Amino acid sequence: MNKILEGKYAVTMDMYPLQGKEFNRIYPFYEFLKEGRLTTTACRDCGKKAFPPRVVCPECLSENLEWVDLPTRGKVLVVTEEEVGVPLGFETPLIHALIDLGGELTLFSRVVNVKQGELKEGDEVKLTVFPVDPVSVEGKKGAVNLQERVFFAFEKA
Amino acid sequence: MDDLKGKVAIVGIGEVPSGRFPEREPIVSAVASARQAIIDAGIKKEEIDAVIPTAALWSPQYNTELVCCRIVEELGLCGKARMNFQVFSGGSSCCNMLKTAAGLILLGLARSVLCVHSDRLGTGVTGQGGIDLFSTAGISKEWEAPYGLHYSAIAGLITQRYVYETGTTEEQLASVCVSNRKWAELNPNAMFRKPLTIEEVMASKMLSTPLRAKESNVLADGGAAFLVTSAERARKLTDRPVYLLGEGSRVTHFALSQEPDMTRFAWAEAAEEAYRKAGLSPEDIDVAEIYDSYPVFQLIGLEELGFCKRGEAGAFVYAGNTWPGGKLPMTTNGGMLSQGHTGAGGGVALMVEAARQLMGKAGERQVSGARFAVVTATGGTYMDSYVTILGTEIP
Ligand SMILES: [Zn+2]
Repeated sequence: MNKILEGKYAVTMDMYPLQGKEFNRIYPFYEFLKEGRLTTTACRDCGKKAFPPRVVCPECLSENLEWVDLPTRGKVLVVTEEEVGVPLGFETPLIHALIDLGGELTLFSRVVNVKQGELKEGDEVKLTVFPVDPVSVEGKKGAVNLQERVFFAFEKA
Repeated sequence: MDDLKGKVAIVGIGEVPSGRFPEREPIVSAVASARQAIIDAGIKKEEIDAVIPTAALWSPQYNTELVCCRIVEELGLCGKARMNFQVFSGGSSCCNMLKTAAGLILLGLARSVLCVHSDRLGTGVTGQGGIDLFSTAGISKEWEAPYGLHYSAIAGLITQRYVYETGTTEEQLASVCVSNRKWAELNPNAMFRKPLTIEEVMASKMLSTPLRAKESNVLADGGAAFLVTSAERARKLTDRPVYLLGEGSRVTHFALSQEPDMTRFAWAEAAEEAYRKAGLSPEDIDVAEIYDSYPVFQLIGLEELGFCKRGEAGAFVYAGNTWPGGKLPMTTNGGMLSQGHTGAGGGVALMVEAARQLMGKAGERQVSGARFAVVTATGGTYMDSYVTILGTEIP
């Protein structure tokens, strides 16, 4: 559990998705992310590449999908620096950007390892993956297992 | 069904003041608003056979009470009402409530439909709780919430892009808040009624660049209701029925990054559909109740609905055209920036305000001779674009 949340909420707010196979239909996304790959689903029937990853092709409704790689470098389209009023567990400033991933898709992400005022439209950025709070999962005979989790952001290339 | 024009009308409205009212439970806001709307319409309450409460965000338990017919019981309609169900699409709920009511009436499934909203976002959540709620509600749990962004960061991003594309100035953006406040000064139900200047807006603290604190809506407790019936019944009740003349809408995305153009959305398509159905054009509109939540959305609305050319809305508002006495009165209750953000009620308040102006019941802020009004509304992270045209005449 996120330490900063302890004692503050009767029900803890968890800002990250559960990523294990037993909880998440798109668990391969997180497996690939641990390898530094940014992936999504593409349709084997009609060829449509969708983002975010889907369970059904939004073009032809086929369930015959495969995982494909996306570019891990992109260009910043817009930046906003969030200075106050962020959810519990986050520290300001948070720098958010809309990123053009090699013309293939537009993605919303945080940009880390950059100071306020340093990031602007047109800057090149690259993927970065980092661990986030693990989640405890009940195992057999009352055992509690910690499930590792990761998430991604971008940083200046 | 394409032709709703002039078939149903709003005949009664009710509203309680928005703000922080710890002693006023949300059911009180709902029932008081509904009572006002029934009295305003001058009908017997037994004529109401459908009740549509939209959702309250502050408490799932309270919301379940709304789903489970509490308002029907409170109003003494048990055994008489034929249906009670929820219509909810966040900020755009008001337009879906009206459309649903219209459909039920046109198909003969209901005679009179009571649409109600109440919520307690002012005193029902803590300051941090409100931030947490609006950093998760309607924001993609998997793809966007993990970055810790609040709606003000989303609005900041959209504002940044809009400024980049149009050259709109900080002063012009701030003037939208001033326009809304000038109307709120005349609105006894508004949360903020003290005069506001452009300088004060620009001196307020930065939330998420370039968006400042006084450019943000403020969470509030509130409630409102409107009563819808057939045009024939409406004409027997009043000589100023507020007819539904046209509506248009598009759903554009769930995750904001999937919106193809976050400085336009689908307002132009929705507006074209609504104007066409109503047989009206932007020049015919007397009052524009444009959904705010943040000032950039009113500028986008003015442009996409055809009141201004692209990139000119900022100068239009700055020059005072949307203020009391201006040529296009806009968001005449003060909007969520000044009346307060009551959840889905932000849109309901605009629908009620449009009807109020057309009924000639807007008191000090009455737009004289208002015949046609447009209402816009959107929910989630601006996931949909709804345009509704109301009027006291059927053109
Ligand atoms: Zn396909």
